[in-house]
Amino acid sequence: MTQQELINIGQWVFLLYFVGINSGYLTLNFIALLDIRRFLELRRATSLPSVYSNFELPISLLVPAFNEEVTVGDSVRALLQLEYGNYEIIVINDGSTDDTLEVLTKEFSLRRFPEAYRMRIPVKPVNAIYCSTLYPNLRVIDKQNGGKADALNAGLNAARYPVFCSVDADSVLQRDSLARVVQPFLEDRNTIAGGGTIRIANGCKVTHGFLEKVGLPKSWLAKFQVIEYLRAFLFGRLGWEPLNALLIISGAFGLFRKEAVMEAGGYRTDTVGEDMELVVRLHRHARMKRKPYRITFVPDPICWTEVPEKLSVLQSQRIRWQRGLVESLAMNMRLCMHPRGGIVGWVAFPFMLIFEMLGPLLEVFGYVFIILAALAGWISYEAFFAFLGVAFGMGMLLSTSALLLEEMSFHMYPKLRQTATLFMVAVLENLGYRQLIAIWRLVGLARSAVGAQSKWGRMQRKAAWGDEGSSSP
Amino acid sequence: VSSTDISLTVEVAIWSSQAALITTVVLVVTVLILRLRHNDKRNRVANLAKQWRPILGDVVFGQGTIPLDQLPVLARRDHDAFLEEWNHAQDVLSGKSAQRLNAVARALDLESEALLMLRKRGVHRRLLATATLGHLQESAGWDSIVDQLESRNTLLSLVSALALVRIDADRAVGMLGSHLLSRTDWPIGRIASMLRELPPALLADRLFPEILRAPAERRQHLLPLLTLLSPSDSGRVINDLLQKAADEETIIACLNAAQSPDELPLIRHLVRHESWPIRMQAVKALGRIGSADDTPLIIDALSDREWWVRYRAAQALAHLPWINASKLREIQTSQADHFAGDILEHVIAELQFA
Repeated sequence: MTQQELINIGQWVFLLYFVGINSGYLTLNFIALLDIRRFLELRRATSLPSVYSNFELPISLLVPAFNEEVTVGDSVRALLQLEYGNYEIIVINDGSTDDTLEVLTKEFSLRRFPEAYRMRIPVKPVNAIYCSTLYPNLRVIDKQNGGKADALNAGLNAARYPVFCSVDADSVLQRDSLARVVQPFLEDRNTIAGGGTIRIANGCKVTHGFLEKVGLPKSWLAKFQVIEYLRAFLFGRLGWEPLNALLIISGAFGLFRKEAVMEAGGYRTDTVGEDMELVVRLHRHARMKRKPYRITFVPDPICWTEVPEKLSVLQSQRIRWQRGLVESLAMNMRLCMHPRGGIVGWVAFPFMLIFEMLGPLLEVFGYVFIILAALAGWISYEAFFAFLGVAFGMGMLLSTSALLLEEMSFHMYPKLRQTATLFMVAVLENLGYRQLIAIWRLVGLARSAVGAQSKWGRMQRKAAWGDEGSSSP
Repeated sequence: VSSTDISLTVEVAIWSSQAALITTVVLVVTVLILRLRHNDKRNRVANLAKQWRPILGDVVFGQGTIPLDQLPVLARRDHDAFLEEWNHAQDVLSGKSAQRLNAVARALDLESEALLMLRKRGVHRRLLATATLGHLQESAGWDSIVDQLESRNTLLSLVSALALVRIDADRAVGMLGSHLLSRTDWPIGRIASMLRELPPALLADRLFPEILRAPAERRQHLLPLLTLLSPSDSGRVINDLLQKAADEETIIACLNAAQSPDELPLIRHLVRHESWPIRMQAVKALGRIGSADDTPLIIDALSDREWWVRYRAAQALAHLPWINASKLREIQTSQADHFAGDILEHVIAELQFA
């Protein structure tokens, strides 16, 4: 193969990758646009018969905690104030080496409880179970360290209700978050999992674990992530939902039917992306057994989380997320293009595989190739700028379309100045930030290939809550 | 590979980037227009609320300081916003207050506006019109609302059903029966809420027989409505179903709903059923309506191989009126099976913590 042929192939790969991924996302954006109209109709509807309270589903909130002594008191107190009729909170102390258990014991007057603990999913040994003498719906499981997935499984074994919600100890929830995210479960008995939109808490005012005022972060790094989260949730998730092909529910806040998860074997402890892996596995199980099911998404902003403002923390988070994605897909590869795979197996899975899993490889290769080719004089500067124009232009288009969806729906950033800032961020993120993320994701992909060990992400907090619990936005 | 291909890639790249840029600019302008429209609407709604809330409050509380024929003029473009506000108020009011609000709507000729809105294409306006006509008990739109019952839009069909119930409950019941069976997209919790607006006699005589004739799968789904909406009529039905039903879901729904000691012989039999969810519900039902003679059966269930049956048996035992704390402890220490002892220990602790 001649040099010219190689250059030509490189150019086509670069072009097809950027046009392909962005066309895919624009299609999702279009689907999301239609779906959000339906959702807003429901929201605005007056005189809809309310859900009679006797038919509310009781929910078990599972809160895994590892070295959370600073925030766990506030977090649990906020969870106790959620507006929902019937729910229990199970905090799982996963062998913390700080005073997490002592803080909980003191603040909620815990006493040892002789629970007949049922080990439906094997977990690391449970040291003791405690019950609050102040709040009958609060229990704490103290267990040996086994990771977040193991902690969630321990909570799942102890959960009493048919639906459970996994919540990061550092998530800031809306008071009505449970009532909102449970709706699809009430409206369709085949719903086995559901998630909601996660927004960024940096720059917001949070008091006693609840959001008081929405604002934009001061840090540019966090501002870039605001746009990323808008893209990820407003069409990354909402676009797949009507096709019943949603492959990710954030570990920061997700609702699941307990028996469906139990049947699938609970959370896997050998991956860093236990939340995504579970959702992909739920699809696979239901599809293979030909069971009717739905995995849903509520676009309401119901959970707020702090994102990293330091490059080093963001780097480790993104490497982790990419590893989680790779492992989740690899562990459920059977779903990909399986005759019973449906849209999820034939469209969503291959899309994730090509554009999200292998995407960083193609993207970084594309940038390196175009820069080297221009420097070496293999391609003209006109071609160089044309290719960069595609990458930047498509990136801006996607971010702007996310802003359009936001404008059509929730208006969380109502000031004109905030909108102007977000437009500026949508442009500037293409000049370095996105490329940096692609490099970190490539590192994550490489580390998956060599199979590094998984463990709890170290929490680094600036404010009162952290960000590393979940595997993706 | 020729140089023509190379220039083709560059050309495609230029066109793609230009298209992306132009679309981005269009989107930015759209966002700005939407923002301006949103702000304008927000201001109008705020002004409307500022003007009308005191008036509606005055009417609702029957103070009558503002005669209905001297109400301010409502601009046509404010009709939607006003009706939204009016419907929200109606949703939380009843009796004379609701009737007074109806008088305001009639004084503003909003029933005619709602009838016009029923013919619009937008779902939101039709929803608003349907809800308004329901609150107004205005029968002029009856046929159009009946047509909407068939809509594939769940929201529109449900709001229409509720409006029909409000306009003429007797006529509505005749249509609702078949829809309760066919509209599997209507959530049970919302159906319950809607049916609570019907007189109990209509439910028992006209709607429940329809539910009982339903195929097993749909019937077991709707069964909880029986005890919830008309407990006095549910006993006979449940007894009948427990004798005849073969499917697990229906049996469970009946056990959940069982309230009468007449059903005890059947329930006792089901405590030994091969399916553990049935055993669990049977034990729960025994705890709820059983007699002292059923205590040994419940104690036996403490040693069931399934955790949930043991747990519900222990809970049932702990809540029996003739079992006090010391008796419960006595039963616990006398258990040879450690699973039974453990689960009782667990439930005793729960009682102490409660």
